[in-house]
Amino acid sequence: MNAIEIRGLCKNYKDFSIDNLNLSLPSGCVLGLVGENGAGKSTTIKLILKMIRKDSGSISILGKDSEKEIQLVKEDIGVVFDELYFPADLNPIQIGKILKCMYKNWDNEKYITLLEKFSLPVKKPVKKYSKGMKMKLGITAAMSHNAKLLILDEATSGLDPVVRDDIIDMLTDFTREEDHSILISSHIVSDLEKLCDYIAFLHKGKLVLCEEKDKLYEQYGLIHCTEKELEEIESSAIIGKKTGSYGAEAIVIKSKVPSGIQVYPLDIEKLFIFMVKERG
Amino acid sequence: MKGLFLKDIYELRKPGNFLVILTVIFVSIYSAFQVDPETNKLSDCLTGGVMFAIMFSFISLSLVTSDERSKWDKFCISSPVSKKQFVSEKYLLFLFFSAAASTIMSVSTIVLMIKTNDFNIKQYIFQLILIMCIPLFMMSICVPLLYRYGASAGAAAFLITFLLLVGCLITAVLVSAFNNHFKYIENFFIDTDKLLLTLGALVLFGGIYAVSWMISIKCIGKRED
Repeated sequence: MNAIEIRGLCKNYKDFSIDNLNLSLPSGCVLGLVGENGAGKSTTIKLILKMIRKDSGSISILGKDSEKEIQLVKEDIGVVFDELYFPADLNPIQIGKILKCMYKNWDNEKYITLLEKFSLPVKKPVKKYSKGMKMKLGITAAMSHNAKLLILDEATSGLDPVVRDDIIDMLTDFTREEDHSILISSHIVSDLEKLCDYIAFLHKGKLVLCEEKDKLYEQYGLIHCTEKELEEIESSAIIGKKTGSYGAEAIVIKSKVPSGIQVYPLDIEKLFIFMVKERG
Repeated sequence: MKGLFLKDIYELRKPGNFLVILTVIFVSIYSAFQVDPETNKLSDCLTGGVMFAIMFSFISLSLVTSDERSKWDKFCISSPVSKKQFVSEKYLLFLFFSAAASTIMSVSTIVLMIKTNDFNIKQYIFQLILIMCIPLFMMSICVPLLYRYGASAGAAAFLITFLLLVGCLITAVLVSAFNNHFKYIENFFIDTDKLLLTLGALVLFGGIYAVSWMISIKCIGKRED
């Protein structure tokens, strides 16, 4: 079963549109949604959560039609946004009491354990928390109602590497359960590389690529060569390139590269940048 | 919806102090000036009562803007809380505040009635319902605008309806002072059956409130649609 299955999703705004998006997140896996600012990552997440209306297409979450059963499905989804969307004057204890009334499966013991584990002061109002602490609290809350699916929208942006690493650890812990899945959007590709099983690239509202991370590493590679050497490579083998006075750098399909050229392991961030630049 | 109420109760702790001060000021002024010293009878409580009720309604409106500021509204929409539940909680909370304001006014009035031995209960109920219709109307206008166009639009609508109301009151006083035409309106209120007027006001403003409630449910989240 797929945790999320999107078919032919369209949403049109005056100056931007999500165009015929097809995306699947297999149950038990982590899907990273990568894209530049304004690529449509947050819009896609809002459409999944039915926070905005879609123009057409279908979305199924945890095997249920999101159009008909969204309130029911939301019991099993933990959502974390780029900021903590709780009133700033409240402390984690008060937030816990509120969320207990909002989620049927709220596990207060787990919530308190996680707060302690992440050393979050329970009686301090969240307005006095650092950004990292706020995000940890957001993820703690999202993981405390026995959610089967976590959806994170730019949850690691603006955080220092140490906190980002802590958060990646929290999410890795979450995926230990077989049926737990995560959809995470970010433009920090290195975070997604650590965590994800699948990577999807969005560019200007269109899905450019969606592939298993390991297959990306298998299929693609990075080469450093001269411009002349690059010209000798079959054009269909080159996914994206960057040339300069120092030489050329390109992401290539490994199987199509002549044997004499050294192919280095793929850097997903570069794959994304080159693909986006190639498309303009 | 219990969680939403609980969140608002936590958030009301700060303005709660303001409400207590407001109540003390209102009760003091009301007790001092409501009794006509010449006749030892209760005078009309419209102006003070309206201001008091509006202040109370302002508190529930401030909770709506605070939700927008903290993006709590977006969190709720992403949680199992439906848009209908989210909006309805605010409308119910306002009714609760209206009931609280009415109770405070009524207790103060009953004490004064006992003190002056002036028990014109029918007249008081008529006035009370008229008073409560005004913030009810203001909320009906402001909340859908707030959900549709944001906090600044809602606050502007609150200010405009408040100024219009004050403008109407001042105009009515001036017209009645310099012109006999206002007497027709005054006579209409005196001649018409008070029960009928009260019921009419209740149906009219209650209906507007119900329509506003439904519009707000449709409006929430539309800004991003």
